[in-house]
Amino acid sequence: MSTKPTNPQDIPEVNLENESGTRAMEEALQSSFTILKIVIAVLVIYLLVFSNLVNVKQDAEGVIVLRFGKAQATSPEEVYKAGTRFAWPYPIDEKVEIIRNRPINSNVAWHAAIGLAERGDDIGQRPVDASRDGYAVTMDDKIIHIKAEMTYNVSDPSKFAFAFEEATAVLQLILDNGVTFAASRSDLATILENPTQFAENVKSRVVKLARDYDLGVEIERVNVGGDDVKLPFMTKKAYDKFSGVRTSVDEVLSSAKIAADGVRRAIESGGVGSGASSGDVATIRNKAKNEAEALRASVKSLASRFQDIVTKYPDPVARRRYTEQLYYEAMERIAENEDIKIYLVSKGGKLNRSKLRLMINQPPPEVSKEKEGGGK
Amino acid sequence: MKKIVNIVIFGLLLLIFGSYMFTFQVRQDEIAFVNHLGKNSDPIEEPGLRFKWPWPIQNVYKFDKRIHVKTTRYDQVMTRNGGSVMMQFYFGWKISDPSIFMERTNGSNSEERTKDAEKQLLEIVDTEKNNQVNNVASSFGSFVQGASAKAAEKVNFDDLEKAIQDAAKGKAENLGVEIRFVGIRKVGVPQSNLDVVLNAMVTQWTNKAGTTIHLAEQEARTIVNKAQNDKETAKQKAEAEAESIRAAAQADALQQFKLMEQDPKLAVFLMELQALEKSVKKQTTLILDDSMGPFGLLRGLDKPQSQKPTKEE
Repeated sequence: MSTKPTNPQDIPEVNLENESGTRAMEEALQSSFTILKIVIAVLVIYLLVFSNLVNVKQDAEGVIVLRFGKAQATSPEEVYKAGTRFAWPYPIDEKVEIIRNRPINSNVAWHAAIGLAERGDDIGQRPVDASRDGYAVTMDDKIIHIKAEMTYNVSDPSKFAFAFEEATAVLQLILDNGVTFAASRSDLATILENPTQFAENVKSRVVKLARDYDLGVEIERVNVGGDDVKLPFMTKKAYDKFSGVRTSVDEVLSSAKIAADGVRRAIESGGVGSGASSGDVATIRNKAKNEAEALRASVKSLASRFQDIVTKYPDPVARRRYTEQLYYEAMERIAENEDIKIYLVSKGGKLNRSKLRLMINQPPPEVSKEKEGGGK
Repeated sequence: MKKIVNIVIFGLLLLIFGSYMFTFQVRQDEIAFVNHLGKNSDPIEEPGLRFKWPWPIQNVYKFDKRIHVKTTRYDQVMTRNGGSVMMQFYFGWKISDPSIFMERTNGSNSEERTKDAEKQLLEIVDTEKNNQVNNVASSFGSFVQGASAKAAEKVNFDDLEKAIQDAAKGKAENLGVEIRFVGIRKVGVPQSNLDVVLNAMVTQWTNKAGTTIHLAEQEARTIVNKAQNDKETAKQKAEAEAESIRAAAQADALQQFKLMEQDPKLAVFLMELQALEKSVKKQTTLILDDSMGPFGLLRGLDKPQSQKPTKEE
C-alpha cells in the first residue's frame, strides 16, 4: 500500500523540458484560429456586401430590387440605369432581373423538323401531318407554312415583371395569334411574293393585342423572311409548274404583241420591220409612184425629143434624113460597145430552117438590186 | 471580449430564427392569407414585411396574383353545319377574389390550389369555346376572309374571343378568378379535310397551268391574226391607190402621145430607138434574125417605103 506524499518537499519534480512544445502548439493553434476568424469575417462581408451586387448592362438589362417583397424603384429610368447595383442578401432584398429586349419566334404554323429517314425519301411526296406539322390557312383556302420572329422592348418593367407570371409566354401566344390572323386575311400569292407586307400585317395585330393585354412592351419589329414562308412539300411541284406557266404566258403574249406591232409598224411606216413582208404598203405605193414617174419622165423625154425634131425639121424629107442619121448613130454606138456581141442569123424558109451553133463565153448578166425592188 | 462575441453571435441567431418564425414577406406579385387556427384572415395584397405567430398557431398561404396563361388542346370543334374545325385557344386569368378562391379550390398548399383552379378554368373555357364557335361559324370557311363563306357568316376573331371570355366570365367569378383575355392560337382542319385541301391545291394548279397556257396561245394567235388582217386590208388599200397613181400617169402619158399624132412614124421610131438603147448596155449577146423588131432596124431602114415620097413627107 502506497502512501500519499504529504510534505510539499516530497512532490516529485516536473520535467519542464516539454512545456515549450506545448506553448508552441498553443501559439500555432491560436494563430490558426485567428486566420480562420479572418476568413470567416471575409466570407461574412462577402455574403453581406458583394454576393448581391449586380451589374446592369446599358440598354440590355434592368433590375428591380424587392425589399422585404416590396419593389423599390419601378420607373424605367431607375430600372434600366446602367452600372453596379447593391442589394442586401435574401431575405432582406431580392433582385428581379429583366431582359429588356429579346427575339420571340413563332413556329405555330411551321412544319415539323424533317427526320433523317424522310430526307432519304422524295420530299415532294411528304404530306402534312396535322398531329405534327403546323400550318396556316389563307384567305383563298390554301395551306401554307409560316414562321415569324418578333423583337420587343420592355417599356414598363413593373407591369412586365409583376402583372404577368410569364410575360414572354404571352408574347409568344400573341405572335402565334398574329400569324394565324394575318394569314386568314391574305391570299397565298401575296404572302409568297411579299412576305414583308405580311410581316407588317402580323405586327399590326400583335401591337393591338399587346396594347389590349397591357403587357408593358413595345413591339419593335416582326420579321418574316423569304425562307420563312413555304408551301407544303407535296404541293410545291404543282405550284412551281403553275408559276412557270405564268412566265411562259407573259413571253407568249409578249412575242405575239411584238410580232403584231412589227406588222403594224411595217404597214404604217413602210420601214424595216420584222419578217419578210416589211414595208409592203409603202413599197406598193412607192413602186406605183416610181413607175408613174418613170412613165411620165420617159414619155416627157420622148415628147420633148419629138417636138425638138418636128420643130427643127418641119420638112418631112429632112426629118426622114435626120431619123436615118439617128439610126446610124445608134448602130454605131452599139457596134462600138465592147460588152455587146451581135449574131445576125438568117431565118431561112419553112422547109429549110437555120441551125444555130453558139459558143457563149459571156457570163450571165448580174441582176441588180434596183431591178429586184423597183422594176425599173 | 469572448463574451461580447458570443452575445453577438447568439443575438444574430436569435434574429434569424426569430424572423423566420415570427415574420413573413408578401411579395409585390403575391396575395397572402394568414390562417389562424383554421380560420382565414382577409387577403393581404400590400407587399412588405408582416408579423405572425409561428406554426401551428398561424399558417401563411401565398398566391401568385399575376396573370397566368394557359392553352387549350388543339382539338376538333363542331360548327353549326355539322362540320368541324381544329382550334386551339389561350386564355389569361388571375385571382380576383382571394377569399372565394380559397373556398372554391382544393389543395393542401397554394400550388395545388392554383393547379386545381387552372383545371376548372380549362373545362369552363373548353365548354364555352365549343358553344361560341358552334354559334358563329357555319364551316371552316367562316374563319378565312375568302369567298368560301358568305360575308355575313365570316367570323371576326376579336368578336369570337370576346364572346368566349364573356361567356366564361360568370363561371370564373364563382371560382374567385377573372379571365382577362382569350385568344385564338391556331385554326386548322381535321386530317381528312387537310388531305382533301392539299389534293385540291395540286389539282387546281395543275389544271390552271394547262388552261392558262392554252388560253394564252389562243390569245396570241388572235393578236397576230388581227395584225395580219390589218396588214392585208392596208395592202389592198395601197394596191388601189397604186392603181389610181398608175392610171393618172397613163392618162398624162396619153395626153403626150396625142401631141405626137402629127408624125406617128417618127414617134414609133423614137420609142423603138429608146427601147433599143436601154436594152443593150453591157454584157449583152444579141442573136437576131432579120425579122425581129425593133431590132429590125439593124437590117437597115425600110427602103421601099422610105424611098417612096409620101404625101405626108
